[in-house]
Amino acid sequence: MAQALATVPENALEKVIAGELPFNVYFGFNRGQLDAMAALGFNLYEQGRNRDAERIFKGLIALDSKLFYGYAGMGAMALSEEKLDEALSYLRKAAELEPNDPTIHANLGETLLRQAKFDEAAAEFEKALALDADEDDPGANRARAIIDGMEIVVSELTRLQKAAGQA
Amino acid sequence: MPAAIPLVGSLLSGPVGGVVNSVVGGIAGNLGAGGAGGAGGPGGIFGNLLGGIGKSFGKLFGRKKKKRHHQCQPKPQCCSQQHIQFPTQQNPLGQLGNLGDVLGGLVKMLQDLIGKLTGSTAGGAAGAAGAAGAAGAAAGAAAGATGSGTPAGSASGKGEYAALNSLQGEVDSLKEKLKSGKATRGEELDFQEKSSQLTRLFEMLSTMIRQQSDMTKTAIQNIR
Repeated sequence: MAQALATVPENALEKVIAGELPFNVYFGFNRGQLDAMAALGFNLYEQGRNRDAERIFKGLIALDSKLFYGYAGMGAMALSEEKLDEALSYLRKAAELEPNDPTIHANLGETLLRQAKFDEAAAEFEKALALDADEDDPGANRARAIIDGMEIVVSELTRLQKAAGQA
Repeated sequence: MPAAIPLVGSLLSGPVGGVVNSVVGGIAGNLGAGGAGGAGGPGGIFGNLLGGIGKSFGKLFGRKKKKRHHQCQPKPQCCSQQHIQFPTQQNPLGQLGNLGDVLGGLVKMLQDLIGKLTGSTAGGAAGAAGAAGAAGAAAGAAAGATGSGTPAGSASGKGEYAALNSLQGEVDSLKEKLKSGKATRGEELDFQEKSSQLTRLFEMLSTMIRQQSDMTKTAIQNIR
């Protein structure tokens, strides 16, 4: 932390306001500390302490808007609360900043599926699955379970529809 | 389509049943609300679901799997572990704990800065001022929780807060610019946005301190 505190560029605030520098230039939190803050936010969300988690995620976005953690956390939380438009906006930003994260694409797919945007949902799910070829990622595996579940439901509905047509 | 919702419960059990049920409910709501080509009555919704999903998810439904079953996490995950350079088995507060009392000092300095920023926008930032008020209350709680009691005045005298001291100076000069009427409306709005961001930073650091304090209290109670 001290190293960054010692090297704040001249007129840093003007650059921060112009979006050229993150606020973190004043704090100098290193990557390990930022990751730990993100992990704290994720843990709070997992425990259902969403308002505390929100403070961490929004703080991370304020600290460095180029870091995807805050957007990914806010997106997952909005999706879990079924605030789909909000989730979509945060998750699209997270995917733009970190395009190789299977969980973010899985969450985007789920959001779009819930919105009945089937083509876009399928495209996001395909990205999530491709990025997790070993089928180890919990976020991508949630997507796989949803797809498998939907396959069963659709297959049963099709069977019922055919049966109704024959009757 | 509404008939599909109880059907899910009879087909799928456990977490995946709950999640798929909620997904199907969401789709039904959106199709009924005119999404994806409109509803056209219950039959239309039913047809839209089968037609839409069948067409878009054809490749996904028929895909090869390495594992027979995939665990369905009850809540959406935030991000993949591979992209977070922090060992999840470690306590994040332990990692942040090495910031020590610095966090307490930062929180107090941020409180001062927010006061300065919100006071500078000629009453145009009522929301931000309200947020700063709330943040001020949180600061009291945070300071009480940490027990560090580093007053902002003494913090500004310390070298470790030099960067935030320089921020204080820059805020002063920007305030002058705003007051003198030389700033554009855009600059003023940018300034207000940064005030809100500082408030969010303040709330984050206060929350972190409160978590640390709660954990310490729990640890002490467990020892006793």
